[in-house]
Amino acid sequence: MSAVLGATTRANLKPTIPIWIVTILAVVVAFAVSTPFRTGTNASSLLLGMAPLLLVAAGQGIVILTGGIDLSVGSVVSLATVITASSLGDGSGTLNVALVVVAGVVIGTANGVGVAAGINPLVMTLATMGIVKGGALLIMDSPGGTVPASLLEGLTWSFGSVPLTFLISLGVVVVAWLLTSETRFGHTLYAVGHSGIGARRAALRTNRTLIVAYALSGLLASLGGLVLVGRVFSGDPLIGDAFSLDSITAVLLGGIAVVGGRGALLGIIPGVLLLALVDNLLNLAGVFSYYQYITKGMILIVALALYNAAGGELKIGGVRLLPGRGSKPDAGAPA
Amino acid sequence: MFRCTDVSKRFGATQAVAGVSLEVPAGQVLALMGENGAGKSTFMAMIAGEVVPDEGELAVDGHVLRGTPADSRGAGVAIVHQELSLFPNLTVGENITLGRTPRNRIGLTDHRASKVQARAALDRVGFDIDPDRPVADLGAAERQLVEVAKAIATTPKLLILDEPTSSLEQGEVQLLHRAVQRLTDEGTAVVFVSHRLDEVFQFSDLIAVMRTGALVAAGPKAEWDEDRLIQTMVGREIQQLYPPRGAEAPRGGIAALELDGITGGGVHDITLRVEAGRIVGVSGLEGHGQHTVAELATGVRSPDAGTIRVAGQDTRLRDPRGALKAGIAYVPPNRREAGLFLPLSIRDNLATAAQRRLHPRGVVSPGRESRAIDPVIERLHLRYSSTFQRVADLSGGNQQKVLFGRWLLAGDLRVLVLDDPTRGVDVGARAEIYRLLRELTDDGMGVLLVSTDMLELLGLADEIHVMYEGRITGTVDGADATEESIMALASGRAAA
Amino acid sequence: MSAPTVTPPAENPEATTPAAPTRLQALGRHRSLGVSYGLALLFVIALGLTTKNGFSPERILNIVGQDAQLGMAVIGQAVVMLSGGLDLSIGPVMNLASIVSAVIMDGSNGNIPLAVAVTIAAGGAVGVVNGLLVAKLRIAPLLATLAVGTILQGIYYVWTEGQPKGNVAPGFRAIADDRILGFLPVSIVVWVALWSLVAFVLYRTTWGKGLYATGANPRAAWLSGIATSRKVIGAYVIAGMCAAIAGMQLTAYSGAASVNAADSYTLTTVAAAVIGGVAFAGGIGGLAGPFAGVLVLVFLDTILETLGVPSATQYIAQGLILIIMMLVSRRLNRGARGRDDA
Repeated sequence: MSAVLGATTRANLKPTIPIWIVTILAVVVAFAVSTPFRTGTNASSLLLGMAPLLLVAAGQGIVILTGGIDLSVGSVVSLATVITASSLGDGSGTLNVALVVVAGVVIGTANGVGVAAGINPLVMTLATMGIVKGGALLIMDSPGGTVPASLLEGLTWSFGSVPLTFLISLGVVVVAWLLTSETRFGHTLYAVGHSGIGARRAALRTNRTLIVAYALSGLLASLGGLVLVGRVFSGDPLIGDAFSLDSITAVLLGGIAVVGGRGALLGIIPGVLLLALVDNLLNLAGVFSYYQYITKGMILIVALALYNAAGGELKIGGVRLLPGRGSKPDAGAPA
Repeated sequence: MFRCTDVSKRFGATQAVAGVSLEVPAGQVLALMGENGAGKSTFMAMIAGEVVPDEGELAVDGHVLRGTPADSRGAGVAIVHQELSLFPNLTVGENITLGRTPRNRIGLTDHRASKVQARAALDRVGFDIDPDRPVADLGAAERQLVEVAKAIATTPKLLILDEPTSSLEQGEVQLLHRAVQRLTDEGTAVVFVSHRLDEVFQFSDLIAVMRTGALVAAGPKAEWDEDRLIQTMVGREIQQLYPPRGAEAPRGGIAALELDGITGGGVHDITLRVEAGRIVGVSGLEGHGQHTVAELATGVRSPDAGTIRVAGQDTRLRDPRGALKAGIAYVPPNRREAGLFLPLSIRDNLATAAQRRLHPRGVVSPGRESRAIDPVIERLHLRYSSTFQRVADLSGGNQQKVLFGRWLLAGDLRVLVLDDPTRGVDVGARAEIYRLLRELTDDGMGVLLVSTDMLELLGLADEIHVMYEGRITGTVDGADATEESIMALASGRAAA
Repeated sequence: MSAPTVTPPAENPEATTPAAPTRLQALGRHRSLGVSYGLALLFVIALGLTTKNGFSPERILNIVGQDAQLGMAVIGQAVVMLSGGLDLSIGPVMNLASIVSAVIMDGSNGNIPLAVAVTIAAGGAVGVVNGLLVAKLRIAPLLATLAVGTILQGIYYVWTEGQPKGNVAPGFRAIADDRILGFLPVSIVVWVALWSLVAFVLYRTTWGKGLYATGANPRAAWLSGIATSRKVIGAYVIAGMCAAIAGMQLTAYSGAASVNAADSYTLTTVAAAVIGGVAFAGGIGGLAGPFAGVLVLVFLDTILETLGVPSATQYIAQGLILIIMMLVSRRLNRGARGRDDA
């Protein structure tokens, strides 16, 4: 194992253990208690629902690891659905996909350049959020459009109850995790997340790292929108709004510290699963869908309060799950 | 090898470096000496590419530095910072190879090669530690050694060591010494800053001294001895700097502040008394717990065991606010991060702790504020243009005076706890601050002065407690203390 | 140490700052005030040139009066940002206020005082929750208020089932429709009154001074004995109350309660505060700037409307102005957060 994964990579996986346990327990309980949950169609819809959020959260996670935040992902998702459902080129959908990719990268890069220039990530992405939202509304002012048939076929392809898009999204998360933990770029990312000034002093390419991080977030959000079309079959200039909050929640649930530099991107898999599960169960129970707002907000607050209460150090049974963030070298006390 | 010509740098009102020209041949070690605030740090930051000089140029091996960290690094400059700059969220090995981690064929980290590289670098320093340990788990001395290993991993052309031994023990200092020697044998030039004079003579080939930004003397080691070095460093200022002690304050009364067997936050069994009218010093090398003592005495930290007595009464200091109510005020070490409100005005900065006293009904009266503030500003000899001026725009010395003035205004204080109050403060402002301190103790205030500046303690304190590894290893009387006696206690070589 | 009589060492040569800042500038934090008001003025002129009767004061007052709710909500957002935080629950609180007030009024003028009191109290209560989450549980303000906003949304959607609820009293609409002395909209008077009250608290009370200190440097404030938690919680309470009042104004203007009419205000308030020179870092800026920020946004919208471009363009224009102002304010506040000295 040690030759395969770095020590930090392994250490950063520890904070994801609690959320894995909680999520697996939740799945088991749901499986045992709810008959409709066990059906293949439900599994399929659950997994299909997870796919876009996995992608968006992976991008959000990369940005949060740098100590930043990307509030524009929601608008980018909307824009991507609108582009996907527009009649473009020869109708095969190739042009749509190409435009979705380009739009995501361009918006993300713009965010990255702004943040690297010293604009607060929150305001920068808030501003692009407005701009992108405006753009999406200009292209399509209400839900609709038609998705190229061949494209839609690909987006809805499924192996039994497991949708193709889900598998691809899962693969993307794993690749993103490797990229952020097992490469030079990844080490720089964690260094920037811990201290941007420190990274600059250490002659690391701080700006390039930030720009790439935000560009990836834009790209993944955009792909998230593309995948979302496989579920809603149309474009909608406002559909993505919820993704900003959901992606942040999923990332933080996954044990990635909001201050940056700590946690593993793999944690978003149980994070997203837990969020999807709660929605799914509320749906199956026939609860008014508006309750989802309340549960989502509660989950975010409870998760953050728990992580904070652990004081940056979470121990279960003596095993340190969250290493203290750069704990100050306290007085050279003899052990 | 390394050459700089007429380099100058100005920060706002402060001339940090003034026309320094200097040359270090390959394979030689230059000790750069000077007091706090003499401009050494700025000079080294220029070599590191973190600060761009206003005038002059620096060159390494013929390559003129362009003033970015990446360019300096590329030119072969490696630097070990005074404040450690490792990333605690990464491992020792990852820190050492950061930015040039070996990769395998598909671009992922090659952990085997990476470990070999890290271990090779650690071996050069003679430090045996597992490269897989997270830096967050290391102590100050271990971090410092890792930092050095990181800097010399790539055989730099010019190595800068900014107080590299401040948290090292004797044995570790020797490790470092040998590592540096190996590098100089390979032709590396070294610039080295330290306050330990014995080390300077042991390590270096050349000695240069800076004072108030200028290079005042430089030459081969043979031309120097300790007396000349100290004299050149402080000039004649030491006599002017520290105001004479007044009449000996009466001893043996009830202590204004008393720590009795205080343990917590890495320090153990701290017992000391601060009596009215006296300055009690706490000394120690960086990282041996002296800052924690200041924090425990001011409610910033709560002790795990022991008693704190204020004017004879057992008191629990819940937080700084509680300490203040008990009459204990705190001047923290890094004024920019923990002391001042940089975007706010001088006026707001001064009045912070006095609001309740000045405006008991909660409504601010600017007139009353001015009447209270003006005499304090007078007393501080502050250089300013308006009380509405942003504190961020003042020089370091004046900023420190403002921070100090906050407690002159607050009223009803028994004890002032100061932690490194003159770090990075120019000599003029230091003299002012020392004068004020004396005035305060003459008025009957007790002062607990934590400082890493030994001369400051020698010049001011009536009594000096010396710490080593979180404990007080000895206490010396201010009048008889010498640098040597304190250093012996601070480095664990002697116990009283 | 043989020479006892030496003159004190001379001060380092220090550059004298060119001009002593006056009281106004130096509120130290109002450096971008000129830019904000300049921009507002530019937009008034642009509006005047693009429309007929553009410069008529009555028309300008009408335009501003229609958007007074933005001005009211921004006051709270600015206070929170000055404390070093951010309130992303403003929109939901405004919606909540809209529904609560309409339900309590139930179409009768006699219920108005009760409705106003309960609504403001509700806004304050939300502020307390936000403040506790931020100050006591130490949750990042962005996340805490985002979560609270989402929960509020859930609560009123569940309560109203997504439909308009309650009945606005006819007398309540006076805020929107009436003109004092025949020309001054009541809404502007309410806005200015609220502004003056909060400005007094911020500039002329020890609490306000403490809030600025807390925002500028929370650790230093704590070390100086300031009760920082109370300042932070108080800031969110003010924001909640301002949002509640703004929500009622919006209800009065539209004449009906709505669960989503105020959604966009969360971000517009941030934009107006930033355009008004309030920095994210805390402690930089004041209430005068956001006033101009509101005018900029309001005139911008009106100009785009009269030009007949699609309404979506407003989002784009707002985003662009926000980015430009961030770059400008970064230049102006350089040094306030520490220069790069070694």
